[in-house]
Order: sequence, then C-alpha cells, then structure tokens
Amino acid sequence: MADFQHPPLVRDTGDARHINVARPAALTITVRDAQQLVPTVTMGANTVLLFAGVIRFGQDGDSPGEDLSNEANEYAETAGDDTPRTVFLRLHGPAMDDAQFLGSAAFGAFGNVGLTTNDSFGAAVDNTAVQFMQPVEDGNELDRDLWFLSDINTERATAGASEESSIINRLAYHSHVLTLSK
Amino acid sequence: MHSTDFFSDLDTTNAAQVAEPRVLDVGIENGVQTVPTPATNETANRLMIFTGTGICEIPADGDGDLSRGVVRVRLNFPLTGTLHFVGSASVAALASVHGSDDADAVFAADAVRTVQGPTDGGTLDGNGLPENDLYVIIDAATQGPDTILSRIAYQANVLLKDLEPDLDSILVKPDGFGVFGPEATINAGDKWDFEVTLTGPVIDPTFLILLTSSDPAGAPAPAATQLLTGQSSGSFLGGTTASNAQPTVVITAIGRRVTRTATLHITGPPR
Repeated sequence: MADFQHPPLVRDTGDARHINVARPAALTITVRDAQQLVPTVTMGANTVLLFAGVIRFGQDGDSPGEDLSNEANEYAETAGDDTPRTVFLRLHGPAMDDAQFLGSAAFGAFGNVGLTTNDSFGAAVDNTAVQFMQPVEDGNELDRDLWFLSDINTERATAGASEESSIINRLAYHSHVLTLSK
Repeated sequence: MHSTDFFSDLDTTNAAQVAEPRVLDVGIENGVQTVPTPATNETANRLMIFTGTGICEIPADGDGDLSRGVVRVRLNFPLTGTLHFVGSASVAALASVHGSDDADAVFAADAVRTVQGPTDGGTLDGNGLPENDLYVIIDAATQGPDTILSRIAYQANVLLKDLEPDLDSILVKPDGFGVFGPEATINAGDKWDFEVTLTGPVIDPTFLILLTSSDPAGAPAPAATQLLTGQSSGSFLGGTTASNAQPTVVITAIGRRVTRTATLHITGPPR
C-alpha cells in the first residue's frame, strides 16, 4: 500500500483538552532563502516553520504496557489486531494557499512504546512527512492545514494467555516546513 | 570508536533503504558549531536539513549476546570545492522493532553524527563510498534470540559554507544613457539595458543567470546571461521594446537560489 493510506488516527495540536500532544511547540523563522532539494521544488521559500512535540495516543487499560495517563479512547489506541494506522496530526500552521507550501522535512520516532514479549512482538513508525492538505476521515473532510503524517503499526502476540498487543503510547515528532510568506 | 558486530549501509536514493527522504536548503546569516568546543572557525551560510527513516532490518546474531554495530546513511549531497562542511547536529531514534520470542530484548540507537566521508575519521571501512558525500553514522544495538531492529529515524542538521556567490540585484535603464536603477522608463520601440550584480566574484568558470520578461512579445529579454570567473557584475543589452508593449513589464533574473526583479515602464503611442 502507498504511504499514508491506512485508516486514519487523527490528533490535533490544538485540542481543547491538551491531551493529544505533549508540549506542542512551533517556531516561525524568516530566512534569506530556502528550498526543498529532495524531492525537488523549484520555487524558493522565505520562511521556515518548526513544529515539535510528542503525540499522545489512547489506551483502554487492558494491557500492562499502556500509558494510563493517556486518554481512555479506543479509537486513538495504537494497539490493534496488526492493523496499520496513518497518524494525521494537525499542526495548525498559518493561513496560506497551496502555492505557499514549498516543502517539508519530518522526523518521527518512538516516544513511549510498550512491547509484549510473550512471543511475537513489535511496533513501527514506518515513515513520516508533512503535507498541506485536507484529510478525509469516514467521508468527512477535515480542515485544510499542515498535517504531520506517519504510518504506524503494532503487533499482537499470537500466543500466551491474553494475546496482548504491543502499543505505541507516544510518538515524538519534529518537522520543518518551508513557506512563502507574503 | 565504533563497534561493528553488524554494518548496514543505506542510501537515500534507494526507496527500499530510506523511507520518505527529504532535503531542505536554508540560507542563513551566520552559523557555527559551538559544541564540541572549540567553536568552528569557519562560519556557515547554509543550513541543510536531511530527514528520513532508515530501513536497516538488522537481526540479532542469535547467540543471546548484545550486538553493537553501525547504520550508515549516505545522504547523496556531494560537497564540491566551493562548498565546505562546517559542522552538524543530528538525532536518530528507534522507529521500528520486532521480535518473535519471549526472551528479553534490547534495541538501541545509541549515538549519531553526520560527517563528510564514509569512514568517520578513519574509524570505519569506507567500502568504496565517495569521500565527498555526507553520511549519517548511527551506533545501534540489538539483543535477543529472534529480534530485528527494523527502522531508525534520523534528522541531520548540517552547516555548510558556500563560497559561490548568488545574484544580488538586477537594474535597468534605457540603452546608451541614464543610470541603472530598479525601474526605468523606456520609449516604445527603444532598447533597454540591464546590469546584474552578484554577492561576490564568481569562483566557478561561469555563473549563469536566467532571465524572463512578463511581456515576452512587447519587451523580450534574453533567455540568459553569464558572468565569468572573477566578475561580480556586468551590464548587457536587454532587448528592443515593441510599440504594443505592455505599459509595465517586469524583468525577472534567477540566480542559483535567489530571484530578483526590475521594472520597465514603457511609454509611447497609445495601444
């Protein structure tokens, strides 16, 4: 499957309960010039946006590896039946149009992971990117904005008493976005 | 010193080895590496940002002992004679791990640095890789009877000194008289001149400047011009305006990374 096509798991840096993301932060830096070289974007930018924080997922209290300080929310729980998910984190960038988004580079990795080791186990943050887009979830169009994307997965044990699943409790991210501010 | 119980060479141009590789190039005023001390003497004017997720798929050796080794990511950004490595600050962290046994397991991305050349100061086998490229060197580890360290995410921030100049300005004036400025008034049917200035003298054999006109029919501009080694500016004939030119024409000059514009105001018989 192509990147970022799994069932969405939507998070928001601006969620009112402040439980989607730990310590979200964003910087806006005016630069002399900037350009995305890989993949090539010919248009140059004049602003670099930095976004950083740690995405918090859900838990349902049924596994010893869960972070119980995360919200009780099975939709947002990463422990599933080996079902990959695509994380969509809304970054709340500045108002802009498509032509002003000129590139990005993203980093994402485990922030907190619980691994069941009663037989097969595993967890994955397979890739990361930032796109200026309008995601669709269950036919509903979400807001057009900057979104951090990542394909994640956890493995469910195939043996043992409870067949527990590994779980990603938190995912650390750091993204650079190039824009042309007017 | 690196341990090399395993060695994984990855290349950002291979989609099976690095997921979603990105490179950003940012112009900055002044950059130095301050840690480790002493601070670098040379100051950088470019900040390069490299990100991606390395697909290393390193299995443990199976004997139950901790295996320590290296994941080396070639960034495919060769440094030329006018592009100097100043310093770097990088991060790498676990992105995907797997095991299929109930024994204890260890996965680690212990340390990372980004360097010019594949050997990290002669501490690693170069394996025939080019010396002038940039590499992310990650010290990793895994332990367990049936574990796999599958992926490691990285971000490398690299300071470079680019000695080649870039375009500073384009100015225009009527052909044969007047003073170069950001705007000029040209009688329809007359010729116009332009002057391009760089931020410093050309080091490479030539510096190419692409030109475009917002009214190619009414006020055509040459497709490109060039300055030669040692030159930092030059003036050239722009072209001849037509009687039906637009009243305002923007001439755009494109250097290596910088774009500058000048404006022609065309006067003459009403269209």
